[in-house]
Amino acid sequence: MSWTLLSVEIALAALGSVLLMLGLLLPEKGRRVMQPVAVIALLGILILGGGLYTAQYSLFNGNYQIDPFGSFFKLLFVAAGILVILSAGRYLERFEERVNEFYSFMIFALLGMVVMASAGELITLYIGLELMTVSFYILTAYLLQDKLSAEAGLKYLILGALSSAILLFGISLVYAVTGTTVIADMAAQFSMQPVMIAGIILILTGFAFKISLVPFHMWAPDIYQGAPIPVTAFLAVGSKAAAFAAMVRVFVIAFPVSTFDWPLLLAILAAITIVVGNLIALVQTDIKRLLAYSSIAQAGYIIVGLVAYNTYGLKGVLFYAMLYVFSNMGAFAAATIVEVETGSTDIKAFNGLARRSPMVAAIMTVCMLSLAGIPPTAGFVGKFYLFSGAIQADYLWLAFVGLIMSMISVYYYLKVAKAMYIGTNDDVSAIKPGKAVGAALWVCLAGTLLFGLYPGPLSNLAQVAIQIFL
Amino acid sequence: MFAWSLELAWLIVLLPFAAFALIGLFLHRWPRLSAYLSILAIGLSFGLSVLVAAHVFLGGMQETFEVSMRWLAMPGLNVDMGLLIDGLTAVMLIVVTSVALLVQIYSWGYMHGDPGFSSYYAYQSVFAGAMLGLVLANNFGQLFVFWELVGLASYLLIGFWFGRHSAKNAAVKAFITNRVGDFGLLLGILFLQIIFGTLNFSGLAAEVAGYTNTAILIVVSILLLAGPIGKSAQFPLHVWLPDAMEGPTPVSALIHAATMVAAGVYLIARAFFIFSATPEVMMLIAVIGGFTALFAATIALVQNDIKRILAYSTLSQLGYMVMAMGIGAMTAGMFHLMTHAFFKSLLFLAAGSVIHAIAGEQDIWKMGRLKDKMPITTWTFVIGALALAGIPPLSGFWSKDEILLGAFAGGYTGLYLLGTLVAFMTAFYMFRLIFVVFFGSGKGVEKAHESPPVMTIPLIILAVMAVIAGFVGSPLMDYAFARFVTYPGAVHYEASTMVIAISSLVAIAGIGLAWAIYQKEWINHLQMRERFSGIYTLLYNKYYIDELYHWLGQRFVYGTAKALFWFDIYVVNGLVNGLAALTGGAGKVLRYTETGQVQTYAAYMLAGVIVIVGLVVLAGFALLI
Amino acid sequence: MLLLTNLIGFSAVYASWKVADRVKEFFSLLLILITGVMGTFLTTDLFIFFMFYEVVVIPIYLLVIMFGSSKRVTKEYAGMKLTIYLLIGSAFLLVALVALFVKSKAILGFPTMDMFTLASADFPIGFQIFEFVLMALGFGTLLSMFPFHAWSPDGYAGAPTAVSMIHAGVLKKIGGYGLIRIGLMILPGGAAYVAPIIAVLALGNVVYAAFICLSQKDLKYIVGYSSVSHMGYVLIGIAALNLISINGAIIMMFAHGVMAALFFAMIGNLYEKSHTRNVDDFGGLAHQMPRLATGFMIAGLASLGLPGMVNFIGEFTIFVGAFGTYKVLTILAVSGIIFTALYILRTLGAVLFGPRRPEWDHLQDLKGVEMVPLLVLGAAILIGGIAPFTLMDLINLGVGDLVAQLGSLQIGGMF
Repeated sequence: MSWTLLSVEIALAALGSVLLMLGLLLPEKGRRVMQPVAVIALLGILILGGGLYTAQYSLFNGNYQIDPFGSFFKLLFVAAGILVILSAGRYLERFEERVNEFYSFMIFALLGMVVMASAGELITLYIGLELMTVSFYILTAYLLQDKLSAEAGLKYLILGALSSAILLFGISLVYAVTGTTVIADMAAQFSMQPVMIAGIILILTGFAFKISLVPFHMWAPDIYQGAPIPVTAFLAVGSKAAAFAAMVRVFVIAFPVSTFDWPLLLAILAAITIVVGNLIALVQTDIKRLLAYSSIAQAGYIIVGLVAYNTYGLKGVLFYAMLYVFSNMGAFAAATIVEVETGSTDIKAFNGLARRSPMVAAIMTVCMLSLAGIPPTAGFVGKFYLFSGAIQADYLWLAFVGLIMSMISVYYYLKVAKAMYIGTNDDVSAIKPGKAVGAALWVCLAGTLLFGLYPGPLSNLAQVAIQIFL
Repeated sequence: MFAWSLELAWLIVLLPFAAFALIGLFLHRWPRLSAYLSILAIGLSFGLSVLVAAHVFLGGMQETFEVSMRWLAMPGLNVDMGLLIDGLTAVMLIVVTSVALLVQIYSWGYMHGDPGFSSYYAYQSVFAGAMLGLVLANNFGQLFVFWELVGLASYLLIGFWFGRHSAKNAAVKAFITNRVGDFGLLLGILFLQIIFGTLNFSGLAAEVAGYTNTAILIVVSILLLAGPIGKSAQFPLHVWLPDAMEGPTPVSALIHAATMVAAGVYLIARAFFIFSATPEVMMLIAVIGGFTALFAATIALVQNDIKRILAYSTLSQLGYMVMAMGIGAMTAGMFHLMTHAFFKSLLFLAAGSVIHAIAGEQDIWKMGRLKDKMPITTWTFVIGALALAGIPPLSGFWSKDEILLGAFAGGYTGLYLLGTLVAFMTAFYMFRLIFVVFFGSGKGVEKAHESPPVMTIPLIILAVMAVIAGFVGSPLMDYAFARFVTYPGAVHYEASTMVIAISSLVAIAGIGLAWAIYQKEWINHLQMRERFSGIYTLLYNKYYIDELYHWLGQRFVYGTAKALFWFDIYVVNGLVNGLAALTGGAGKVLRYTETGQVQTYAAYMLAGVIVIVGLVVLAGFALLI
Repeated sequence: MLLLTNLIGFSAVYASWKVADRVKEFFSLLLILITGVMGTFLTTDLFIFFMFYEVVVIPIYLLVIMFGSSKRVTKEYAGMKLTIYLLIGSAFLLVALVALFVKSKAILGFPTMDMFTLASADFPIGFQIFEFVLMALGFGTLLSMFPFHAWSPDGYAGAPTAVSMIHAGVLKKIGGYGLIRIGLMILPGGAAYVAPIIAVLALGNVVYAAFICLSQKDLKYIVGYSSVSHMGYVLIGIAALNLISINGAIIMMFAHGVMAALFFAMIGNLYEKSHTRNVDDFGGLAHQMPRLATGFMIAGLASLGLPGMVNFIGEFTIFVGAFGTYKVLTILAVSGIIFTALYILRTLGAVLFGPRRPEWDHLQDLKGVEMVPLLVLGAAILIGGIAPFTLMDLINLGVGDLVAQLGSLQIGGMF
């Protein structure tokens, strides 16, 4: 085997450590360079990962898989990381003395995700997951002076531990039956027993917590609201995508549908999630909570792809996860700008944004429309794949629920748009977002629109990535 | 002879429309120029019509002339724009163009100085053009198109003085009432298209002859009949015509004589092959016509407005024509249409001259002894009235006589008696008007003056026509009219001396009675009014039909409208809003699950796990069983 | 249809010449709107079709809330209602399209969204019915089919002039276009089964909405409901499933497009100057504004189906076509012409005619660029009405393909 195959993971680990130490070495003012350093390094890693995209190796006796599926998600995570770091710059100016912690834990969480995406074995997966989660505990409670932040961190810690326990319990039950934790070997050992089913359900629950499926979603709004906005963004995008990556790999490869109809179970959960997430989002007045519920609903949509369990569906999962990075990051970046400017995360804070900064308002609008699945944004294409898959798998009712709820969701997205375009604000001074955030916004806009208007390349990447399951 | 005029017949229609377009687009700033153009156009149309008629009548044209061009074409449906020229058409062309020409010339004086002078002429041109297009139509589609345009023009002209509420409402009333009739006509046309696959008159004539399903044919005929009932103001759709005199008086003349109301009678004549195929419908037509004749005549007896009296007399005469159609005397009906066009336009224009002279006053009791101040108007009016009353040898005598003869000889005794009674009433109310307005003992109107020549010359021409037009259909000219305007299987009755004598006597009696009451005042008409106040009020209020319609309209149409709007707002919209509220409400309720307590969250999670496991176990059992 | 879009788009731009505030946003949103509509009519791919269709929804929302006006309901409410209603309708449509896409793989061996390829496929009848119901819901909502019309009057009332023009004029027509192009062409069997139901609902449109117009006071509501009423004719034309009626429906869509656009342009102009749209506030405006009155008259007369206006051609053709299929329904629908005439003439009478009212003496008549919508749309109405053969040649080109599909159709149910 070749170490180069693991270069992304190694580079990330190194980067995280270096950033942590840089914080100790550099004088306070000099820490400003950390943002560009991190971004440039991540860009390098992105290119590295891109180069390895088609590589397909099984390392450590199958414990670790290097394949396009994993690589796809690695690119996704890194891209998300870059965007988060770009948009976080201004936000972090208040915390200059501890900024290194932020960056390095960010990178470590990233590493955890990468491991989850590539793990070929349940324990490895669990380790990746814990690496990610623990980093997030710290990041969530990053605002030391803020009670909400501390509370959120604590809640996340408790509930996260609970879910980890459930997941671990599930893994152990499955291990008890199949005698292995290597995903690829499980299907062969699969036997239909109550214990096995309990194990599957527990694993499912563990993941469901991470991707915040109803009724395991309760933590998300509180924590999203309490955590610093960039962390929330990363949590919503990265952590969720990592859980999806792992979940798809585990469920599709390890648990044959013929013996236990877990897609039906997931379909029900997805429907409930979509309905509940969107309905509660309708009445939110805080942008972070709104986006939290919206992202709960989004998780429901993505699960539809796994329910469909066919080419369209799986492709949809990947496609959607990727565009979700751009759209959601765009929305969060805009929210970050507004919070930095007004100090509030209430939707009212967006009043008159279209006059104060037309560019931010327009990008925010486009990104939210993408989340709602309105063409010509990428969200529409993603939903199209997902629901094509569902219909092909004869889950017509699920497609109905999903599409109608997604149209209803337009209501709350437009509520924000309305505030931006016709709301009035006493403060009408122009908002000038920083260069870094601006760049992040433009990238998000470009991604959202590009994948919407010309979905071909991304679709091909996803197609290559899911070859391993077909 | 003049065969080339047929090739140019399309110009008859097009010229007035061209005048309209030119005035509307470019000339509306120059009123005089507009009027010249309009009069020129209708004059040329008149000239061409004369040539066409000369060719048809004198040149001995045997076959009908027909050309057409494709207007609306798709597989299964063709509507052409064409020309159909035969005796019937030729008569109508002459009538329409001559009356329209004279009315337009007259209007030059009457409408002088009106701010809407150009628009007035533009509308007049549309009116004439539409009517001519209708007359020349060779199929029902085209007929309907121009039929509606006639309606439009009448709407515009009746509502010409749109500053008045009454004019505005009269115009709407005219259009809507006609629409009700058009509804039937359109359905009839649809039936024809579906059953026979063509709308062409000659094509339909051939098809109908071989068609045996009488029930369908009756339905179609009745539907088609709704059109003429509306347009020719037959009961029960007559309400618009009396109100229509809200327009300028020359317009009333045109509507009452040549263009609008004639269209309905013309349609019956043109589609006679359909109506005559079903005796039941013919009877219906006759009864409607007869009833309208009587009904309107009774109302005319007691009205006080000079134009209103004339309007009800028109209704009554139209009833005559329709009745004639119904008893199979189509030729007589058309003949009466023609003579009526001349003397009624004469009467209206003369009445206009009176109104013009005394500054818009229309109440006959406020006029009196006008004969001294307006001799031409007076005597032309008297000629018109005599013609209308059916005094020999004026035109009305010949045509009315033909109808009564048809009824008498055709065995429709009831209708004959009715017709005679109406003739009596007609003579009475016309001369009531004359004695009160022109002779009478009233104090007279000081400032009255004779109208300018531009108005009196048309009166004189029309008076001449009112005198002589009847001869073309009289035995003196060997029933020349009947040779050209006829239909296959027409029966012709020899003149009966008795019928002639009775109708003449009746007319003279009517005049005499009017003379006795209003000139000599041997009988006090005010006392009569007191004694029969019940009947008087009923008649004066036109049998309360307008009130009834108004009530029905308010109660049902607007009631329904309001009810449906309520339904739309509170039920249809309410459902939408309700669903939205429900969705939002669900959101609010679900939101309470979010307590902020970690314990609760953990409990939800574990409960979720347990429920899922439970469900799966249950499902598993279900599978096992 | 493209002709229509261009005509109306062009006029709409001129109709909004006076927008002073936030000009840039207004016109860029308007252009997105027009582009979207054009795209819908141009494409032969269902995916692209749907995409363009949804593209237009959001700009409309923004235009309504930014530039609209609040009367009976607030503009925010109107805009949101319009948007969400249409989107939910489109959700049905999307399910239908996706199902078609998926099913085409089973039938044809490869998945496709190309209209013509799909039209050649022979779908099982049950599937066709299911699909057509969804499409009827989706397109029907857009076409304001009774009882899914609730968005339309409020939406038009709230929207700024140009949006009302484009929405009523063109966007609604996507519904009809879709039903014909996609519904009838791809799913003739389903259409035959569902058509009678659509016809009954369409009758609801025609009569019900016409009645409601009678009780309205706000000019925009009158035109809003009247457009619901007119769409009933279009729907009947489509539901009658024969060539004549469908031709009629297409003409009617064109006709209603130009007519409604002209109406809204005139109303917009009047509102801009007088700041009211209540019929009772007006009277005798023909004294002060003869040109505006001409525009109102042309639009109104076209609306009541007067011959010489293109609408008559549409109505007449629809009636002839539909009469062969649904006797009773068509008779009832034809009665719509009476009520339409009634409310149109009453409205015109109340606004334009009657005694001169001095309080409106300050109103300026149309002049300069304000004349453009009147001239362009008025000319379209008249030319189409006087010389319908020009229009027919265009439409016959487009409908030819349908003939084969409809050739052997039997309509289910007797009405």
